[in-house]
Amino acid sequence: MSQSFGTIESPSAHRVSETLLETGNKAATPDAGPSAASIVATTPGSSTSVGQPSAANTVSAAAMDEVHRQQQTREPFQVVGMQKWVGRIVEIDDEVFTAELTSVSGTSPTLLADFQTRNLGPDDAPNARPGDIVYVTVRSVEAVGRGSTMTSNVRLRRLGRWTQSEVDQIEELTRRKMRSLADLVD
Amino acid sequence: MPHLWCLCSNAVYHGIRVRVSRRADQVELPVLAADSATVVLKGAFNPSIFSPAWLLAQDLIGKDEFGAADVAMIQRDIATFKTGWLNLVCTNDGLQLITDLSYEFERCRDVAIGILQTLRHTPLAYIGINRAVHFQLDSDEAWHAIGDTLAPKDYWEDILRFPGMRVLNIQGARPDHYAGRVHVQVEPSALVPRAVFVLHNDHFGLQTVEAQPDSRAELTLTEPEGAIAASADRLPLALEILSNEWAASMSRAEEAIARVAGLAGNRS
Repeated sequence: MSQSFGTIESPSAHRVSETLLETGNKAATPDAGPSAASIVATTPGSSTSVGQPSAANTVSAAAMDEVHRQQQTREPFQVVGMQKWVGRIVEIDDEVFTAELTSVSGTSPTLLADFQTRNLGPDDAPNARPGDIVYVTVRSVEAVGRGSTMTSNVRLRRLGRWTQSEVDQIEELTRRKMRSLADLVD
Repeated sequence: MPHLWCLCSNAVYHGIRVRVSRRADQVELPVLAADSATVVLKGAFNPSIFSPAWLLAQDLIGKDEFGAADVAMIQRDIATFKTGWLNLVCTNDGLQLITDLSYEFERCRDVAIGILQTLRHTPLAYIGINRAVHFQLDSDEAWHAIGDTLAPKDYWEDILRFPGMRVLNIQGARPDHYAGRVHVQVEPSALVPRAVFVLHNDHFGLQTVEAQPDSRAELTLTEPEGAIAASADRLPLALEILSNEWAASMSRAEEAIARVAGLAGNRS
């Protein structure tokens, strides 16, 4: 597919990325930079050939097949809202956990919400503890003739492995900061 | 604090259910055919370190993602693999983390943070937070309206037959105290027919600046590519940017996407 705004060209063979990303990655993976001839370019300095779409604008054949499949089966719909929250688990048991949610944009009031623990997934649900962070995404979709439906995702944040020494260091930094703030109040 | 609601199936409701609708301060995005976020780190890396097993060992992915791993290549000079929702590509001079699931954007960012916290001596120079979307238009007229507005054809029609915009890349000064620029790129989608591709590239040089350029001339002159040398001393700044600037970057990207989509006007 070769297209340009302002005129319509006949479809022609579309160049997929000539970078290693395209040859090595089978996923629908837009590239990094705005014109990423280099797979890790973050600036437009490394441009693709004139007339070619940037690597970020191309995907693998498998990904394109998936998009075409979705297009064929898609009914008219409109995502009328998407919101994201970051939550801190305050209580949890085998069935339900309660999280204190703050909007990612920081513009909504803090909420307490209950979720089924199993929605964290079989890998994460048994290990979730109070204090853990979750991400909550909610999308509201209106489909013609079907009304409005809501989809949501709850995901546990992974912080990686921390050594006791690193935790101690952070605690000490926090104590110092608290002392300095207390001095300001005094 | 209100204790309100539950989102998931078989919900346990407490009181009223929250309504998810567009907030007054939220830009209205078009229906997106594809939406991805990418974190790009430029510096010096050892690609052979990176593997799904290493990410699992660092607790940066779970067993589910590890079980879904699809390794394309892990060699001395390049590692590229997919673990469920996360794609990773590493070369000697860069690391790229990508997800095309909008509800995993934050966890993609977290993997980048986790990697940097684990590999604390990694020399870094630049970081990019990128958002790329494809959105389809309802008519050819609406689709062309975007290209015709961004690149008026009047200037070209006497020297080109049927001029058409292929790529537009526009840059601006950063809105914060970091070096770097913001780029927005618009192209006809190579993925979806009669669709538009918009890429928002939040390009950070890993150093702070006292003031941003106050003219286009100054912006053009400042920070030539490669001006910032990779150093492990810059790693804390990368962590700061990923931790503190992510939401603002996503918000700016959505403003840019909505702005481009709005150029179609009511010609759909």
